[in-house]
Amino acid sequence: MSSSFLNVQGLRKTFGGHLVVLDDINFEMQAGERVVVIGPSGSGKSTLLRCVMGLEKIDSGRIELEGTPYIEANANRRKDNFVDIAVRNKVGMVFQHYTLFPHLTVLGNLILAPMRARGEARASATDRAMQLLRRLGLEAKAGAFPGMLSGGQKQRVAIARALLLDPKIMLFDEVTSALDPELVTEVEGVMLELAEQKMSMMIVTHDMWFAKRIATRVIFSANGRIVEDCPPAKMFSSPSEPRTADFLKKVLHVETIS
Amino acid sequence: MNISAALGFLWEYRQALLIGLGNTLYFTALGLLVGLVIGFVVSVVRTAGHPLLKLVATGYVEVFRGTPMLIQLFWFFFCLPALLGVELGNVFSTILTLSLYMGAISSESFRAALKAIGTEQRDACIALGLPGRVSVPYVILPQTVMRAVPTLLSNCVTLFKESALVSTVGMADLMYQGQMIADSTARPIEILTATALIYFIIAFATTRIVTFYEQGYLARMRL
Repeated sequence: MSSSFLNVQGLRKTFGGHLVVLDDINFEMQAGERVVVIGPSGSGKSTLLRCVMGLEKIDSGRIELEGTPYIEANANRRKDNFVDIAVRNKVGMVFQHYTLFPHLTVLGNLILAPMRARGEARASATDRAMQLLRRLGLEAKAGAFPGMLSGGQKQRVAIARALLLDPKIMLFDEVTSALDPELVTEVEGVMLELAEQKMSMMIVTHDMWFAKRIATRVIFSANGRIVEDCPPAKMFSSPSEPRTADFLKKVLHVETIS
Repeated sequence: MNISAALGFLWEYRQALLIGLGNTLYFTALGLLVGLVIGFVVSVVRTAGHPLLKLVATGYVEVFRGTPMLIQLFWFFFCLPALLGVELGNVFSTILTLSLYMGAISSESFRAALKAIGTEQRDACIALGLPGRVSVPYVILPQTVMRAVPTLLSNCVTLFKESALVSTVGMADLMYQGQMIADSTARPIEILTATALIYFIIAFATTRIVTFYEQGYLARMRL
């Protein structure tokens, strides 16, 4: 048992056994932390989030939330990990491509899981959903289908859908990468609001300015390993690893950001 | 040829033709209903089933898509009863053939639609903690059906037209009635043309509905 909030131990993930995507990842996270994962494409950032969500079969290692292991590589069963679904359901995730259900209205998207998977009454789920939509300024869109919304609106609905399940931790996988630049701020605004409410988050992003603004901690990963793990102030001003400095120089076109 | 005389002649036989049309629609509807259920189940098995089941399902689809429906019908009407030693009757053989044929062609439509849904929707279901008993009926099935509807409707049109073959095992469908009237009155031109027209009008209307649905509903949904 560990006292940390999220604990990833010895996580290894390969595709087909030879292509190593994550190689012995170990890290712990405390409640209320906002960990931003940065790194070059193909460094395994998104895969790490997908493993924490339980979307990927892992080769070895285990992941615990609040001291309870909920994902564990299972040597006996070739196909699946051990997954404690009740614990995994405390993890929420938002994806790059929204993944809203196109045949359901905004409200329908929000209340499906509370009603059908958690047995909440329609009236109560609708009530909570409408409150949340109001908070996010999406009340007027409750009856709209996702196809009628802008990218920024879709992504805010996706965040609302995940939040309605009261997650202990939220995972954001490049949630602004598919958006037009002018729509990015409305989504980042929602995330900053969550930060104020001390939501625990893991965020994969290419937006270094946003990373610096929202993170309490930044992890730089490359080639499936964690290269550097430190507070944003240090990461963006004086990284200790040359690889980190090299990467930041490339993405920022300057030595450091202040 | 005198048009009004021809129409008058057809009018006399309207009852028989209507009975035939009713039977055609009845067989098509039954084949459709059973066939769509088979088609959906088979497509799910072929997409995500056990390897052995997958093999069986694929074999079934290939055999029924790759052989003429007339032979399938004869096989179920003549050969299967002989092998089993039980009389199946032409009604049962007809419905069995139409259902299995529809199952095979519609499973391909469902399979394409299932593929189009993609892994992202499945990821979303896991991330929302939706178990299969929720995700299949509320997420996967409706999207599959909506996407598959255009091709399924053209499958229906195919089944509707192909069902004319059941007249060969003595089912009193539209084709059978038309043929009987043509034979007994020796006026095949009027009656067969009229029969063809009836098939055409229904098939054409259905294809119009497909276009309407694609342009209206699907476009609005941006599926």
